[in-house]
Amino acid sequence: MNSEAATLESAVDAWTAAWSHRDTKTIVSLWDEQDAQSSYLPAERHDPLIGSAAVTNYVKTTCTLYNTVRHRAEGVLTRRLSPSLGLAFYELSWMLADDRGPIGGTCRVTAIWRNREDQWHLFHYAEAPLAPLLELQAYYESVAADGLDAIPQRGME
Amino acid sequence: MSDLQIEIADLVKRYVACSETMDFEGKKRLWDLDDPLPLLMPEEAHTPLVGWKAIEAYWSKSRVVMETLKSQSANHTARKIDSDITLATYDMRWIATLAGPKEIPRKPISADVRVTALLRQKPEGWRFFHLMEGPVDLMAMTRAASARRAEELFPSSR
Repeated sequence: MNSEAATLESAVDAWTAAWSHRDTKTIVSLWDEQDAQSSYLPAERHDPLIGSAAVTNYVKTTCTLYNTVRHRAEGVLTRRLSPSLGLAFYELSWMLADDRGPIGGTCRVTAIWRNREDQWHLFHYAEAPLAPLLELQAYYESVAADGLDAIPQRGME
Repeated sequence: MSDLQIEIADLVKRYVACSETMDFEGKKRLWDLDDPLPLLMPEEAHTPLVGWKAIEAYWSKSRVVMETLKSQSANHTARKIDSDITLATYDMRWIATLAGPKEIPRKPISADVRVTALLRQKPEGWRFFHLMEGPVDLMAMTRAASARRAEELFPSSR
């Protein structure tokens, strides 16, 4: 891995770590606030958030709504597209928890970064979950793997 | 719509149209063949397909897995992010019938995916080198399914 890729990987690490700490200030600082057309497509939305105000609002809302946020990037692939552009692709494992308990999953991420004054700033971020049909099948298979005896006992007998 | 958006939307439509005849050679011609590490992330694949060998193997398998496949794109955007690189996004609806024994009737299944693509300008035109398909997540799709059922059951409640 060359040093440029390592730097981009460090930016990915900083991004996921900031999410895991619900550190909105750092998350927003890693976003390209100068780019009016920057776009962020979360896994749960049909349409992207456009511009830093919309992204900042989303980040702050998510970090406020949940008591715990965990992000982990795995299999990170990076490419320098030009002197000022970097592409990162990875699988994101995520978890959000509130008083109802945790929810989580994985999705694939395409993240495009712009280097300005030797700092990487994200200006396009898109999350792509595995097809829900397969997610559901995997859930059914995981319950089958638990076995019949794992049927939840609800203390009603 | 800018000239770039028109050009990219036209390219995407040609790319998506190749699915109907499972013309994967046609699809490949719209990729940057000089790129040694193109990346394709289909929604049903568990890991990204990196490099031509992996992508071609996936396309070959698609011919076996699906009996029919139709696709259509919409909501195209294109943004030049460097002198020779464009970021494109679009939505794609696919309708497929999975291959299987003839005696078992199968209904087509369909979903919409949100696509993020990167294209490089080549002498022959814009060509893909990174393409990621992503549906909305399971929770959002469950919500959409439930909203559809509500509409079916109580059409006047809207």
